[in-house]
Amino acid sequence: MLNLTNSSILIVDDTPTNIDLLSLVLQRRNYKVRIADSGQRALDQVTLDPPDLILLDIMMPGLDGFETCRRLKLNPGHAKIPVIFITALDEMKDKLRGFQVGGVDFITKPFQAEEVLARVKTHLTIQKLYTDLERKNEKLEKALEEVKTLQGIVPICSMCKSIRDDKGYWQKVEMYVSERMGTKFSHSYCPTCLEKEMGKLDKL
Amino acid sequence: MRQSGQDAVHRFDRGGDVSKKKRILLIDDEQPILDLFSAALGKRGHEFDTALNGRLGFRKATSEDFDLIICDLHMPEWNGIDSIKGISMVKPESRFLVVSGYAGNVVADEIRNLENVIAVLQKPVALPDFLHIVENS
Repeated sequence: MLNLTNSSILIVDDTPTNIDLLSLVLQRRNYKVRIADSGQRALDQVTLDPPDLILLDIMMPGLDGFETCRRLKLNPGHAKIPVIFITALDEMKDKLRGFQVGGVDFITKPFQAEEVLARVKTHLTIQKLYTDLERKNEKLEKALEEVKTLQGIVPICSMCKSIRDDKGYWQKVEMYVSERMGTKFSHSYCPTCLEKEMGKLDKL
Repeated sequence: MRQSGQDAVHRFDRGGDVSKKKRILLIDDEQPILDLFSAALGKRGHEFDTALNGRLGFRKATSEDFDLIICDLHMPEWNGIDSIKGISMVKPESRFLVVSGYAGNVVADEIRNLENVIAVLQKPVALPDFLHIVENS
């Protein structure tokens, strides 16, 4: 189960009543709420401290919601923040435009608290899973790079089992593997070799 | 202190030069290594005790007197370097023979420069060389 409490949500709306209502609904579920009353102020806030999700009104003076979202998505560092548009517009062409500029969903005014919470939760969950997946992919790619260094044909001395590295130096096999895989070896004797070594004691 | 010929795993008759008889502590996390070195030392008449990790080795080395401490480098809990430095702080007169699979690396070089490390041997060791160093230490 993902823990979404304390996720920060930026509400962008020029109508104080909408801001108050959305803040109340979200704060009751322990979300950290920040507000901006214009598109430009929203962009400034995102630059200073990116939120986990943005609720963005479309009809605002100055930068409207579409343009605010478009500019936000131009910055690769902020492009992955999910934006849910808040709108009284219910026309298909407006919704299409919202998706085209990078929005992930819509909430239509007048909004219902349960719908707001459900959509916010859904997109925070998707975003968190996406971020986790990206992190795991990075780790996997890094691990794969390290494993690749042990692929291919490795020249090994048929007598002493030393390995020739890519610079032409002969190394003990355990040193070669340790340097590339981080593996540490504890040098011991297998039962067969121990028996052979014990046999040598008679000659001492 | 285990006596030569009294080892639970390998029993040997007395042997070696009694005049060079030493009290030796073996510290290694690999039981087969301890078994082999114990057998070799026992066969030559030396007294020995063993420790399967650096921490235990430190306890034994600081509570009893040994002529020589034979120590591995890569071990769990305390590694060889920690053990040698710890023992040397309490008993600066202690002398060490380091036997390691990584005798050629930088860490071993650091150990090699310590005054009370008489030699650093690469595993697998040739038993005659091993005994020669022990008996001439």
